[in-house]
Amino acid sequence: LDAAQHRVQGTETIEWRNSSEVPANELYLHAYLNAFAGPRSRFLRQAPEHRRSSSESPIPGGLIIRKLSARELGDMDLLPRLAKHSPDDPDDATDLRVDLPTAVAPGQVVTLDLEFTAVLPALVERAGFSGTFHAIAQWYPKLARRTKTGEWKHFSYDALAEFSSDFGDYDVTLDVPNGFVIAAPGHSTLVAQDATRHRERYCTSAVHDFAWFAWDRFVVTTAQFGTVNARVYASRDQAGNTRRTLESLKFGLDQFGTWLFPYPYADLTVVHPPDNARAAGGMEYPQLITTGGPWFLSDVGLHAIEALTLHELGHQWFFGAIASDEYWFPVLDEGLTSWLEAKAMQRRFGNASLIDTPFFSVSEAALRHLQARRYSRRGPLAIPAPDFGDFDGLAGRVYARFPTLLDTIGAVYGEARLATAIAGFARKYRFAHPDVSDFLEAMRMGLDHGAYMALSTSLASDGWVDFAVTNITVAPSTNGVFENRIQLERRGTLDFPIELQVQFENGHIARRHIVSVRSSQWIDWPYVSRVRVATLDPEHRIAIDDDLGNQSRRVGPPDTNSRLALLIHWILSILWSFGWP
Amino acid sequence: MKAWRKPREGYRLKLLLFLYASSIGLIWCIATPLYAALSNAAVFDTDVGLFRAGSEWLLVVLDAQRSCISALSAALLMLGSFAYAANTVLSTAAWILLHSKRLLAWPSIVDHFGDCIGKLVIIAVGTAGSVAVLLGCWYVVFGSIGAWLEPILGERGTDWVQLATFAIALCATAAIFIVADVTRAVVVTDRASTRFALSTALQICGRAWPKLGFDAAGRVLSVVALQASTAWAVTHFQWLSGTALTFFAAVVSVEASALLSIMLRVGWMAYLLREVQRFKRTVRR
Repeated sequence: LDAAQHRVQGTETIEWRNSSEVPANELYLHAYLNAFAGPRSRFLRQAPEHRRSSSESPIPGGLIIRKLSARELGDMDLLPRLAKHSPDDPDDATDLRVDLPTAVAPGQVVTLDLEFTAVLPALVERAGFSGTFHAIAQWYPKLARRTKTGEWKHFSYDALAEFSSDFGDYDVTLDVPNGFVIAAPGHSTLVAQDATRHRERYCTSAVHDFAWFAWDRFVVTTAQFGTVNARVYASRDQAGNTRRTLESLKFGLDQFGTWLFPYPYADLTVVHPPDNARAAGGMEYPQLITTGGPWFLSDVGLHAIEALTLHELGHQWFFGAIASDEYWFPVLDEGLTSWLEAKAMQRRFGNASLIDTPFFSVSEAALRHLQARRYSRRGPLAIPAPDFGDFDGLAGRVYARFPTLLDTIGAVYGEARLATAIAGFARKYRFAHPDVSDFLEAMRMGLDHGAYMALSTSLASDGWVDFAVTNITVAPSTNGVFENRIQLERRGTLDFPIELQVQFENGHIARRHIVSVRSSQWIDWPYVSRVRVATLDPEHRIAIDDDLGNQSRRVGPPDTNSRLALLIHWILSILWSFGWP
Repeated sequence: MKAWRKPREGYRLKLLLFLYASSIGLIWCIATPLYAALSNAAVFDTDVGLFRAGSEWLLVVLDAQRSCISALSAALLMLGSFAYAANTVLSTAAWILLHSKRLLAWPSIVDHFGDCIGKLVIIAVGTAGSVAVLLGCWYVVFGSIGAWLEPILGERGTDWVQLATFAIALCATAAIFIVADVTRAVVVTDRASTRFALSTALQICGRAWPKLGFDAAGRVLSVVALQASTAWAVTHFQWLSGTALTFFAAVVSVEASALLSIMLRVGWMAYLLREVQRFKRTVRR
């Protein structure tokens, strides 16, 4: 690392075995940093307001490959055979094809030697520098993944997509100026140190990426959680957040290890970027996660640091060890991780999982469900990241709607059953790069048919539902029995079994379980008293319902909501106290 | 000039109750349509259910009625503006009625009111404008010093400095409000022009700023503590989701806080009127 020029000079050796059934005539290299090389890259062509971070980078970056040769071909220079730009996109250079002079047969190994320079941009999203803080991610030419059938999973860097590669063993030696602390995954060994610089070596196995950070103000806090050695790198001001991060790691490693499978590595690194580098926060890499947030977060009743830590830790399973493709199926990593995080936060903090103050508490699930309803009827959830159009759409559907659908399935069909099905999927596809069809097959085996259909429709088609009570009629009493009739409607492509609760004028409350509501149907309920209120889903299990405002209907005027009236009056009178002229 | 006479017993209490009842009436002008929109939501079947489980279902109701509240927002804004304007009239009436024990005839009070209302409106507008400019300047400073200080002081140090700028801006805002109130007191006492009243107010504030500052701070902190402790009690003991008795406790607490807040405000107004009288006597000597 040249900390003054914000560049990393590197040499790399990639040893790749063709484990597919088909000879390989070419290779593909991800060169993600070239997204910041010029304003016409695929990444920067997208409007800032549509991206995750709306900032522009004032200082460009890039990945310059200066040498590329293959040992098995007599150290043949492959640089002339390296494409200058991404396929069909002359303005982008993040997806580079290497045309091989001879095919690599199935089972054969090719060893590539590369020399490169990573030019770090001013930090905009994930990778770059801010002051002396260096987020060195996607910094080396990374081989794309090849499937068993010989298909290369290559793609240029899209603003809405993340990263994908294949598992391998990494042996990385990092050289930085003295005074800089390195935060990297895996176990470290000091290799050499002189008056101005020092070198550390990091070895990790069965991972598909390697990101590291260097800063001259890191303070390291370590802890041992069972077999996992955790290290948190943060500034001195972040002591409170560091403590809460470690508590969350301990809780998360224990819970996720029990629910899914034990964390499969010996080390876990957490980086808390400073406030001026917050664009590097909230990100996951194998064995390394980044969090973020101001130093006083822990003291103001917000559980943001816990939520962020658990979310990124959850990615060590859904992204890290399971390695679904983040570009093609973001729902399988962000969606499942968001569900896992919400479950953990609910277990830890109950209904105060997001905001917890003496005056007011809000659960994460409540907010997530609200957001999910705003992104209904937008199409299938299992689509490639770029197809979501903008980050708000991706976040609303993948981070909020999919976990809300899972919450609904859990509430209706059984939480334990859902958790077991997802755990089964996780265990079966460890280190296996599953796709959506693998996930659905696991759900089909583990869940009821109705639950499976809800998932399948939502992932592949457009899953939405709106249950409503649309009418109540009461015929005059004959022989002391009133002919109460309640009209129900179900709109949408999803269906769930549902409870109907009826309150009568004599105070009696009764419930009926309905396996399936037709698009429109009448329920007859003869009884000695008139119906007063009919409510569908009184326990609010179906969080994915589009409109909660039509699930109940009263006969006659609404009840007086004196508590609600007092709350409104109170809020206005507080404003009055401070605003009276 | 007639000597100032102490008001009759019960006069201020009647004034307080009148102001409290008027405030309630104006608040309910805005609250009623909002309440009608929210209480129409069919997503709950009991009043109490809204406030259970961390008020989660209250969020659902707010979200379910979002479009309804948006549709009402223009009407609510108009109602709010009307209520604020009406409260300005009430406030002017309060100033004059507090001062009026020196005057005996109702026609004089009405005449006094007509003389002062325009000037007090000008003071209200001027106060709002001054505070807006002040806060705008503060915002620019607040935003620009962060990047400059952070490499030197770190995150925590920078945040503390930024907080200090906020505190300074808050003190300056408080000073503007105090000067505005003293100006109102001068206008009501002397029927002076707004400009003359402002210059007199600045002289009074210049002479008595520690006393005025501490008194104002004490009253504001009392209102804050009152409202905060009411909020704590209601939420901590879950009075809104409890029995009818606990709900009654919530009602009593909320209304008592509102009445006490008005009392603190009226006490401040009476205090300023006395201070202006004291200043006038000093100047005359």
